[in-house]
Amino acid sequence: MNLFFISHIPVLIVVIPLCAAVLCPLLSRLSPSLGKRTVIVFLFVVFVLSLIQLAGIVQSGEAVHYYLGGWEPPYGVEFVIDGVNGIIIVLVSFIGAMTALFSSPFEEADKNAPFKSAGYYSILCFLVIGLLGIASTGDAFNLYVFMEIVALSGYGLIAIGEEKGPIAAFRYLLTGTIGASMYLLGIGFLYSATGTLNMADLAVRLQRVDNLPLIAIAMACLIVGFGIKMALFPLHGWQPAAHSYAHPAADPMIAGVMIKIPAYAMFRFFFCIFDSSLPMMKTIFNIIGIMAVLGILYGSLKALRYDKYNKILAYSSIGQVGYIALGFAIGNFYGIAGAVFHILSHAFMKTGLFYTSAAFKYRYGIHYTDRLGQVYRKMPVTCGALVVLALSMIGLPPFAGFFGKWYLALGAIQNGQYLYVAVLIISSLLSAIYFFRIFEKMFMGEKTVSEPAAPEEYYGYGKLTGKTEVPLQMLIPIVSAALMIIALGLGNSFIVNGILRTTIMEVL
Amino acid sequence: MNMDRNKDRKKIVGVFFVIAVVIGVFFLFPDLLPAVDDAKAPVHTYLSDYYIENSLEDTGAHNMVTAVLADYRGFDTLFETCVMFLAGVTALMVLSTTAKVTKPERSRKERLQISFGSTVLDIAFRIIVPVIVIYAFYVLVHGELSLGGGFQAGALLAIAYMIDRIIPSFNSSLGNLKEETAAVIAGVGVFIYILTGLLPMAGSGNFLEYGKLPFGADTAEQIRQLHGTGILLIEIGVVVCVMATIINILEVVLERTEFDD
Repeated sequence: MNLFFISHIPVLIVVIPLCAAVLCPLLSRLSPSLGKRTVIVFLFVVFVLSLIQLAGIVQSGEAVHYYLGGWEPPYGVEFVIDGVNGIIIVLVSFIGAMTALFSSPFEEADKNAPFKSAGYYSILCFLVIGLLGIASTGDAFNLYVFMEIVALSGYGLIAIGEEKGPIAAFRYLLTGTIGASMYLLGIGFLYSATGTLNMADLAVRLQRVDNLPLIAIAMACLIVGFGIKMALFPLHGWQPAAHSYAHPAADPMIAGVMIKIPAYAMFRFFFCIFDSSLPMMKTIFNIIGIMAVLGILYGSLKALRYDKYNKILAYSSIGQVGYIALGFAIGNFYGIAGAVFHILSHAFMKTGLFYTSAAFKYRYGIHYTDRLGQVYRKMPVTCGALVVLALSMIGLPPFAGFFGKWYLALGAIQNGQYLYVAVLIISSLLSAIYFFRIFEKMFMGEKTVSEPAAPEEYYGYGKLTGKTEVPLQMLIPIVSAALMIIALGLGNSFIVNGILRTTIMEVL
Repeated sequence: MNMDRNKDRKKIVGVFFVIAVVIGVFFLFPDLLPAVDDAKAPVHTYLSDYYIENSLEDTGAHNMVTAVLADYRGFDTLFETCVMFLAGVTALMVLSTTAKVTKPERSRKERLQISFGSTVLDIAFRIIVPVIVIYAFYVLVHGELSLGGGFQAGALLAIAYMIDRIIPSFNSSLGNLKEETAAVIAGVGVFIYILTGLLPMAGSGNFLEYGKLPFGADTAEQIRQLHGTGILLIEIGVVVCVMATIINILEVVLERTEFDD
């Protein structure tokens, strides 16, 4: 196993899809579907590399450092991969590759307009690159650069979506820019106090800084910055519209992963960089906790109000992001492990649910749940996966969603924060209501889904072929998301104790 | 109507409240940031001192800004270049649903005969454009020593194209680049940058470690020259990407707008 590229894996994970993304327009000139296929294949290669990398980290138990340009930190940029971000990189590359495959029927290569599918794939690939970069980097400014890549590709994918897409994208552009500026301002304050941008170095040098107001303001800026990016209540304003109107095939990536990775970055800052013995840390965590609690309740209640499938999922995401923030607010081992586990499980759940939403749009042009009546007869596999994913969202064992909440509850009980436990239970009940309402319409309602009588009444993305289930390129991602939920649920103790424990114990 | 006005008023109050809080914080804590002339502040002593003392030795670049931008933090600059490419592709994708405005086709011979409409502009065009192009190359290769670099040179080249494209009543005299082609070229520009980063891996170096470019360098002086080569290569990639992206966005917009003056 001593191949020469093994030591370069951390950077190859970012650079291989980058090659595909920038060459995609050129390759599509040579042959219309070549660029798109290159992106899909390269993303699967990255998934394999990320697995090799994670296996190495678990075996050795040590973080991997990669110095870009050969400059030692703090003079240059470095990548640091440990247990927590190792597994998040696996998650991002897996969902990225699956989403690229899933988009294939939506973006058929067209000989007359080869750029249409090539441009879409290029932007989607950049979204994956940006997320992989945020997860890999060990440098605060480099993280900002990747955040810009994520934001810009996000704006693009939302704007080329459905009819209200451009407006949703513009709103996200305004708020997202404020979020990015707040993050930049935050690291600007930290840089002015320490003179360094490397995260590990920041942690060391911040211990010697006695200017407490400055650290407090930097923290406030970072909370607002990450809060906007991860749509944490009350900074979620852009999120429901953006998640409802984005390009249907890219929506799973946007809704499932794009709002989780800033949450991971928040973990990096608040546990790995800031000194947890600071007196104001308790206040900061309480503020995050209040935002999380309000967000969980608000998201779950708002989701009850809508009939539009995407809107229900989007508001449910506001609540679910609250769970992750709640884990950080609890702040002990089980809290953080629960938060990271919930990042993983919710990424698969929400991505899978948005896959099913895109599948309904692809075949029947369905946007509203009242048109889902008896759809399970037409699309049995998709609906089976939907049931698994929704039950996991509600939090039934043995699916992954249950164990995320379980660890969070364990952490809250350990700290004596029983309010958080109550909120967890209430929001699970609320999510049971809105998902069972969808089940009711799908399985017990009157038959409202039907083949359009005439082609002009057909609103789906696919061609009218008389087939009822979606094509194989879309079925594989849907089924694999459901399978991953079961696998994560069954393997939860290995992930928490085998992979996450060493890293989290180091920072506590 | 009344409700709307009330809502607007609430929003304005909210905005002013946020601004007041932010300004208030800075008045409350006047010594948040170190003074500009504070020579002992960590921000002025830690990394800055290292770069000032060692950047020439390490990278061979006389211009410290270039040394940091293209060498110490070259990885950040790679993604800043990607932001340009991505902006171009996104603009193209977002506007691709808007219909293009049809313009009269002209043959190459006709296009060459079109003048700007006035003798002054005709003569000025012939003088200015070559000067801009020469200056762009100067800025590119000189970036290592003094001010300048890839982004500026790319913008200058794009301006030379833009003058030609915009002035003669929206029909280029040199023939125009298709927007898709410009995006392809921008992608190739970024790829030049990536390739420069990947080459050192063949010489057992890390990504973007110019000192280990596989061109056979042994002495410290030769390694410094390799750093210069690496910086020049990535700057060429940046020039190509920036130039093509500006042209790309310009074309996307021009193809879809009708000016009548």
